[in-house]
Amino acid sequence: MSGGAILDVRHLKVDLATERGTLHAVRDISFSVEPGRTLCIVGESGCGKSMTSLAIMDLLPKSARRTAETLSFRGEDIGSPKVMGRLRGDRIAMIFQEPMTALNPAYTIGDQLCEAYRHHRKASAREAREKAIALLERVGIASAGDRLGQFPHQLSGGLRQRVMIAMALMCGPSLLIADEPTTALDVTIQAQILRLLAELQEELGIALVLITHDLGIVARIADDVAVMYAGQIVEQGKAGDIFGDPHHPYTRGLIDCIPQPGKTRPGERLGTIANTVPSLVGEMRGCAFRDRCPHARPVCAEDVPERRAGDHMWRCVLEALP
Amino acid sequence: MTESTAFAAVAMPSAGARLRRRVFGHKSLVFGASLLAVIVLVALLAPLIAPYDPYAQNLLARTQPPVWYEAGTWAHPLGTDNLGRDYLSRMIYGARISLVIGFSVMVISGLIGTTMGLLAGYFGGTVDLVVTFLVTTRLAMPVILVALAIVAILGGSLLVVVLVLGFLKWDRFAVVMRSATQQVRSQDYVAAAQAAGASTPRILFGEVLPNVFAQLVVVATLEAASAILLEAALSFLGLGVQPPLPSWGLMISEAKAYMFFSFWLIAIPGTALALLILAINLAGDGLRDIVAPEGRE
Amino acid sequence: MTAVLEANDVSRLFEVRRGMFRKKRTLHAVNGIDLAIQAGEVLGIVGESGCGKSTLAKILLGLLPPSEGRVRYGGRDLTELDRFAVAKLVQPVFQDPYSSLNPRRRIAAIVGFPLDVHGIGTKAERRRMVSAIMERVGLPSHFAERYPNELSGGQRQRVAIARALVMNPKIVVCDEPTSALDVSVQSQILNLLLELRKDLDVTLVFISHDLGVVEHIATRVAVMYLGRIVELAPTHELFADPKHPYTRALLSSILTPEPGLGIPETGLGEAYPDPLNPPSGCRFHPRCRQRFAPCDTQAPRPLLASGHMTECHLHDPQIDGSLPQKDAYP
Repeated sequence: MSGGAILDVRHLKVDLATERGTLHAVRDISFSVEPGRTLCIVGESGCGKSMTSLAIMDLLPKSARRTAETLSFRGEDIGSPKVMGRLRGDRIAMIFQEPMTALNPAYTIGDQLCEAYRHHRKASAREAREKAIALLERVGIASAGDRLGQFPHQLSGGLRQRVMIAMALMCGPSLLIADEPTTALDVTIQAQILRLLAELQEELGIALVLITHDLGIVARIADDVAVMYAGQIVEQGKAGDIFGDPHHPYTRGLIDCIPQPGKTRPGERLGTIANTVPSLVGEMRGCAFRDRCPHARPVCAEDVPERRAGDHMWRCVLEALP
Repeated sequence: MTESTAFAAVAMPSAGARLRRRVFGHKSLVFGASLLAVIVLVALLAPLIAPYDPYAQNLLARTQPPVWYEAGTWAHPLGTDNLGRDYLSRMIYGARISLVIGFSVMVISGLIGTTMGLLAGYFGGTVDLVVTFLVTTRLAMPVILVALAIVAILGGSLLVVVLVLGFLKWDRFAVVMRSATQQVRSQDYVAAAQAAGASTPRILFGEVLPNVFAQLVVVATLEAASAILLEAALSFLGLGVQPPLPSWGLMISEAKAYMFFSFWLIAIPGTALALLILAINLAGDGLRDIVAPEGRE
Repeated sequence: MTAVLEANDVSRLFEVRRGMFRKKRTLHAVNGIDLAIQAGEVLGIVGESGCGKSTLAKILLGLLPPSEGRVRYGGRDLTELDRFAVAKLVQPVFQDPYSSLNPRRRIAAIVGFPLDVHGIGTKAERRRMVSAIMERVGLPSHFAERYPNELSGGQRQRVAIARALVMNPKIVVCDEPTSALDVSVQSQILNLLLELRKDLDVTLVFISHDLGVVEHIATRVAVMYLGRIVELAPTHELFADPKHPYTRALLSSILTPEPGLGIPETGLGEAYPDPLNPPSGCRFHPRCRQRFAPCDTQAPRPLLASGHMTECHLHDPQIDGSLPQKDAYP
């Protein structure tokens, strides 16, 4: 799988120092993304999905410690801050959940769009401006030339996210990491932004890593899916396999929680997952999901085997769900 | 808890223990609060620990230097002033004046400012406009000049100084409480209390005030420090506390004439004043660090 | 079915002034809403942010007096009733369980707060009522002495529900009660609300932007757009046969977890209009693909056909449907 991979992550761990001890936010995860494909990392709050993206981008908070066996982008070691500093914003771009906090309120849209391009490409102001206008038009912003002189607060949430996408694409990246890009938006705008991302990805052949909590988004946009729980990838595979034939009790539990026309009856009970997520502070052993799992058994407290069937991977003591 | 928990139970300190650790781990807070506690204790116990009557003059023993000078004796550890009064005793009683001023001004201005800020932040609209206008008006008046003018008309005394400063220094209380209240006002638990049928006073005192109390404490400490400094300034100018009361500011003023011959007369109350202000500000800053939302879990 | 709460032509205006010397502008957050909440139903209210659904919730809760129109309960105006009577009638559950519980109070005090305010029962009776309702919403009794920051989001939302139900109100208005929660917790809260509704015979108003959730929980759905209800129908009818072009666009934007279907084209333009400067005629016309001659000049009237209300010229027999189609959405 890692043959043509553009991003290869092996045994990534992120530890956070907290008042109560070391919090293992990401516990040994491995995945890779190939050009032109979309990997969705899905999980609930606190599962470590955002930490994963920040770890790849080398944007972790100061209290965090990152270790990885491999962290490579097209064979280059992006574990080195120097290499990452060169690639970030150029070959690797990122889109955040809340564009208002990611955009600098004191600079115009134009300044912010052109800055990274001029920095990485040593381009003239005019070239950068032309590129910016072309991209704003591509992401569906009308009268792009006028928008360049506007400040972020003058735009609606949907427009801001489009600007963020245009900014990410300025240098023509080959990898785009999007962390909950549509969570702050209305459903109608969400669909538009996701469509735009999918179109651009196909058109430009970039690899997209999309981090979200929304299984609906995952199902519609992902080629590959990694389900995270308590800092680990508990199930990974093609989108069709994950949704059509989930092998991990957590994945199945999550899917059953969502009301789905045709599958769930209005007014009937929805599936639930009992209890809450365990604390990630301190050492841990065995399956992190066992307190909430309907199929838990004593052996779950032992080390959990990683099972595979083709590209489909899951971590469970059970070979198949009953 | 199920029997087989997924993760080894971590010894989780209780909330109280965590708070204690945070307070005692904050070095400047511990330092400021301890220093302040010492000064307060000295002021409270003044009659017991002061070696002499602070008003008793002894013209035979004028401007005796403190012990660390060659001519100093342990009879007057901090020496005597120009009227032969024991400087240590005057310093000890002076702490009372500073603390009384600081505390009373804080209470008076705090009551006025907090009331205004709470009402403005909670009701908004016209009330807010009026309060904002009053704050702006008040900010347009320089405290020290207005205080000087009033004291010059009424004559200086401890009471006058307390009242004048109390009625002049509520602005920061009003501003901080207004914005803190506005922030709490927008929380859903206030709306929930309204929907439960709670009366406005009940919401103000039960829901809003406890949640802005932390900010209130911080402003209060800073205002107390600033009131003490203002009193010293007024007394230095001869318009504050009147002689023979041993106010530190007044002591500095009285020592002006002797500063080239008996430097300690200015240095000792000056240092004490600086230490007190430092103690209060460190404690206030420390409190803010402890109670600030981002400091919480 | 009888109406428990009725809104007649209710509007709420806000004066907005950006800067001291700018002109005041009027924002019609809610603009002429007619709504009769039926006993025992779950009324879903959906719409994009800024459509006025939260303002409507505040009006129904009696927290915000309407600028025009009346909200009536049993023939009497909500503003004429004293605050105790309103509190016994309708209670809220808010979106953010972190801001809806006073961080300085213990859970038992939060749940029992309405009882304290109304002075219901003795201290011991109140404690019994609190522990009964806590048990009913699935909160272990040892939570009573805890503070909100010791609870998870889902547990806090259960506390908020317990507080809303402790007075046995007729109506509970839930404003986005699950959108701050994780999916696995969301389904627990939805199940709880549905159970409580049956057991306690309470009417629910359920405001949400998540149409999948609304379809699951609501018996009737109102679709709001720029301060007006543009379509109101029983849930199955609205989802099976949406009449208003806006409702259709909203429904098409639902992303169900079905791989391979791709991302739908909603057909809506980007911009949600500025509520301070709403479009003329039908407020939806600038984003509508089916707009024709009268849409930008004439406001559509509410059309009612067997319990299905919609405000759209397309369905108005008095409007000549053969008028030329306007240049479709760019």
